[in-house]
Amino acid sequence: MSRRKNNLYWNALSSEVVGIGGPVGLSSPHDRSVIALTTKEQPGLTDEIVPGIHVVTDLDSLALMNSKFTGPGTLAPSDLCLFVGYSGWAPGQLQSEIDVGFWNVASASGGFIRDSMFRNVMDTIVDPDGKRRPIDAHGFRAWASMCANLGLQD
Amino acid sequence: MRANANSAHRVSAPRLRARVARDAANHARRLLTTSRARPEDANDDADERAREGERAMDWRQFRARLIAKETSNETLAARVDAAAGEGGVAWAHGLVNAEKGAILVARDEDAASFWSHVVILLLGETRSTSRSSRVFEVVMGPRNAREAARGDSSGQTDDDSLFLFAPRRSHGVRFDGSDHQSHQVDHPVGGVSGGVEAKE
Repeated sequence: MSRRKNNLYWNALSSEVVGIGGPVGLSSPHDRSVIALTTKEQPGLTDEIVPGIHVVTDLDSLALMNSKFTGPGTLAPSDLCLFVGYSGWAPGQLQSEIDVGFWNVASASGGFIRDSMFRNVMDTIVDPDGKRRPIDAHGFRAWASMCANLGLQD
Repeated sequence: MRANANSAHRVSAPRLRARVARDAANHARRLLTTSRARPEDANDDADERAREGERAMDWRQFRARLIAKETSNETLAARVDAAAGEGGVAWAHGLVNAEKGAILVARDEDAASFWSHVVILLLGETRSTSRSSRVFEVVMGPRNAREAARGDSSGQTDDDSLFLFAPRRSHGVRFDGSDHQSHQVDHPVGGVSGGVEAKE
C-alpha cells in the first residue's frame, strides 16, 4: 500500500489541470513521467531554469514535505504547472532540426515565459455544471502569443 | 513590440551572434567570480546574497542588452532595463542555438502534425549513458493530455478537453528515471491510467 495514498498534497494535485510535456513517457499505462514547473522557489526541492522559472526536482519529496508543512515559503499545489510526459532529442538531433528551420529559438525572461506560456496553458474557466475547462485546450493561443511577441508572424 | 522584436530576430550574422554570446558568457564568469570572492560571503545570509547577486547579474539579461544595442532595438533594451530594476518584466529575442531555458516555437503549422503549434521550454540537458552524448530534457507547453493519451494528434477532443490527474488508488510519478515501482492509477476523465512511484 502506498504511503502516498492518503497524502493531502497528492489529493490536491489531482484536481489540477495538466499539460502534455511531450510524447516520451506516455506510452506505458503504468509508467508516466510528470514535470512540475513553478514561478516560486522552494530551496532544496527546486532548480532554477531561468530566473523566475523553477522545476521541481523531486515531486514526491515535495508532496511528502508540504503535506505536513505549509506557509509562505512552501509550494502549494496551485503554484505548480504540471506536464505529463516530456520530449527529448538524441545528441545533435535538435540542432539539426533547428538548422533546417523546424524550430524558432528564443531567449526570454521568466516573466515572458510565465505570461506567454504557462498562463495560456493552465488558465481554465468553470462551466455552469462546475467542470473546469482549459481556455486554450489545443495550445494555439500560447503558440500564437509566442509568435506575435517574438515577431515571427505577420 | 513586434517590429522591434522582429528586427532583433532578423539579425543573421552568425559571427555577430557568436561574439555576443561569448562576450556575455565571459562577462558573467567575471561577475560571478568576483561575487564569490567577497569576504562577507562567510556571513549567515551569504547564500541568500549570492543568489540575489547571481540573479542581478543574469547573463541572459546582459546578452539581451548587447543584442538590443547591436540591433538598435530600443524596445528590447527598455524591457531588459525594466526587468533588471523591477523583475517580472517580459522580454524576448531570437537565438541561433538551443540552450537551457531557451524556448522553441514550432514553425510547422500542419494541423496533422503532433508538433504543430507547439511551444517548448528547454529544461536542460542530461548526460546519457554513452560517453560525450547529451540529451535535452524539455517540456512542451500547450497540449491536451487526453488527446495525447489517445495518440490522437488531430487536435480533436470529444468532451471535456480537460485531463484531471486524479489517482484513485495510489499516487506517484517518475521524474528522474530512477528505479521505481509501478502502481495503477485511474483517472476519472480520459483514457489514461498509470503512474510510477519514484522511490519506495
